[in-house]
Amino acid sequence: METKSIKKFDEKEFKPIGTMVFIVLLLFLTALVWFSVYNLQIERHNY
Amino acid sequence: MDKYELRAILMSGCLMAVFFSALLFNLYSRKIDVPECTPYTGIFKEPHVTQLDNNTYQAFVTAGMWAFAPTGMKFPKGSTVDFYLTSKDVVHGFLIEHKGVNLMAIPGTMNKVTVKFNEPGEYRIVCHEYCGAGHQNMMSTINVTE
Amino acid sequence: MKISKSLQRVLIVGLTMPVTLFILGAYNGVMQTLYRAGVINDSAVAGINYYQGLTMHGVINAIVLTTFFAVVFGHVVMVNYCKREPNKNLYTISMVFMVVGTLMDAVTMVTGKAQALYTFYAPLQASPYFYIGTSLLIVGSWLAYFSWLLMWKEFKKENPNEKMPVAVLGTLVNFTMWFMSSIPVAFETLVILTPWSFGWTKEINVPLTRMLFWMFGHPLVYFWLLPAYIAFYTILPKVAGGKLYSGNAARLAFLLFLILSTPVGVHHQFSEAALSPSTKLWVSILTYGVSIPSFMTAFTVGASLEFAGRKRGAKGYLDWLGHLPYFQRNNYLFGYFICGLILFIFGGLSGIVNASYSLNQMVHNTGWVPGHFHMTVAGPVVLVILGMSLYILSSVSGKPIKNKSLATIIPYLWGIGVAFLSHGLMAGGLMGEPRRSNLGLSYTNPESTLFNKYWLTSTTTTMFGGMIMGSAAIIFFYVFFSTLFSKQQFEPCIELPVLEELHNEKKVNLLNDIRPWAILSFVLVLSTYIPSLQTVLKYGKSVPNKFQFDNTQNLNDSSNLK
Repeated sequence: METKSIKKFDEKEFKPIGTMVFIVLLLFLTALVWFSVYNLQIERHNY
Repeated sequence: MDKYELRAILMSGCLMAVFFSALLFNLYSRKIDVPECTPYTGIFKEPHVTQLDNNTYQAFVTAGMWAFAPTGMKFPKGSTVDFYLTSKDVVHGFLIEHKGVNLMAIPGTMNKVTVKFNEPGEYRIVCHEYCGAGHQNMMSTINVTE
Repeated sequence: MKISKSLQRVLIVGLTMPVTLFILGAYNGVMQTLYRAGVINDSAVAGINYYQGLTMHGVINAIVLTTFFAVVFGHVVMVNYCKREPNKNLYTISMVFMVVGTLMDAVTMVTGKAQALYTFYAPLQASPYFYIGTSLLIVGSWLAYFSWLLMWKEFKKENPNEKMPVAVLGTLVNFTMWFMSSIPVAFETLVILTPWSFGWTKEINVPLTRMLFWMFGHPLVYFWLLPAYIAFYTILPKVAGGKLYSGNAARLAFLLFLILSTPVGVHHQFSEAALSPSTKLWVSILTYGVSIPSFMTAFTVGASLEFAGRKRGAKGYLDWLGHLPYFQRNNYLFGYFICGLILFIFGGLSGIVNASYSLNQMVHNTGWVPGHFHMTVAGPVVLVILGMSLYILSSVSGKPIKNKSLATIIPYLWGIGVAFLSHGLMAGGLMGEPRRSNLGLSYTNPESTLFNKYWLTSTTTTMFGGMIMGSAAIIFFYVFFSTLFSKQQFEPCIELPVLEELHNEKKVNLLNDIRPWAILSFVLVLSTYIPSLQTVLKYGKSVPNKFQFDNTQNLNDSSNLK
């Protein structure tokens, strides 16, 4: 006989919210790095 | 497709589009571009610098194992220089520090970049493509005067 | 599944030869960091000069090790899922070609006859036997691919309605891409470079050879990466204690790589003359496109790991990252995978900078480039190779891994090393520090007139990282070889962890058939390479150039001709 406690992790209800947070942070980091190099290029172009 | 996966793809795609727009903006408003195709008519008889007017110069540069010619290039600040670049032997690189100028000198082709020097000082040109035993000594300087 | 003695032999050779050569490849890598930091101010150490060592490092680590692993792992995947062995003649001849080709390369490099680096750009001449050896290695790998196509055809006939397993699709897609893209480099090496190197032809169109090389050179990096992705999608979920979030997403990602990695070679040539800005712009767009399957992988693998973390009780937004089996002796593979994934975040980001059309000028040929690719190829690719080589060696030789605790910490040590190495290289690169240069002779030698003090911090950081990587490598060699020379304790077999998928997905026919994607790939290649070929032939002139690395005299000088 199986007893399911209220807190037990239900596979069927899994939603990858944590992964979405991770992806958003990843995209922010990408933008940060990219625009840093982009700005450096503009600086050097104008120097 | 799973809706979360789709959102992740859309967000990534949007970011790439933002980058691409920033590049196009640079292209059209700041004229920051990749080299254009330039016809190659053979190696320069003599690498040299020509002055076209007060602020405009043309530099015909040849990269060779293991130096850039001509040496001792000097320009007044505020000048615009068209660099024409080729190689007389193997593939070399051409990077002007502080300016973000970065070209390849490939034998049989002519490369070109236009640079405006606003600040006086010494700018090093470094070869960054392996070209043999003397590669790490292949460096030149451009002097931009007051 | 139990395997035959002959397959076992071939797989063990396929693992042992590259790992043995990797000792030389890793040694040369660490040495370079010492030369570049100015700790060594010489052109050569122990009879190997810097550029010769660099050639060995690139060829062994990035061509030999990676190709052998792709073939061995491919055999393991195909045998595991199709429950049969590949055709014996094909897999044997394949390995023979690969071994002979590699030996030719090794001999020419060690004797100093091939030191034009792993990109062997003309008109720097390498021995023709180097070009032939490399071609032989590649053709050998094609034979393995053909054997798998036959296996799949047979398996499909017996199981007509089954989905193509994700790992099988990944393997066949990878080698389809490899086959398509190695044709241009085979042409470059066998039709253009070998006759030129032998002296049978005098003139060479240099931009044409470069175009052909990079037509191969970009898909090459995906050829390295896809086996790691196969491991992330089909082995990591089980190892982490979870399930694969979506098999169809994995299939789509692989197929997108097939169409988007083949046409974009020109993005390695942004600062060259004989290719037009419009081609370069189109290639930049396609390269942004090829970042999408990697973002998809980040999502799918992330979701699979999050599932594993939550199954272990994680509750918050990101703490599932902490609930994963990082340090478990009997689950040593996890460390290899997770360190690879973390490094790849930064490797991928820096790659997007490289791909960005005019932004590439900030980084081309500077230290940034090796900084980038050590976080990709020396990140997930090599880590998966190291981890899975141990796993496969153990299973096909019937010998349990010796010293699992050491095996578990190797990837973490390696990962820390790469982080320092790449950080130094990228920082230096933005300061104009060139790649592929023996800086210790000039730029990082205080006695030199070329001395550049700014490059001392970056190269020293890199050296520190390199030494940590070297230590991790030594531990790996210890674990690998002590396992190899230990006593057999169980029956040799091939067995991969069983893949469990989270969702019950329908079979999507388009995602189980490689052919339409291969055709689309070919069309996209035409869209970038027809214009490229046109400009290369129009703006590039053939030159009668041929040079040895240490001689400024043209070997094809007209006074020497006829």
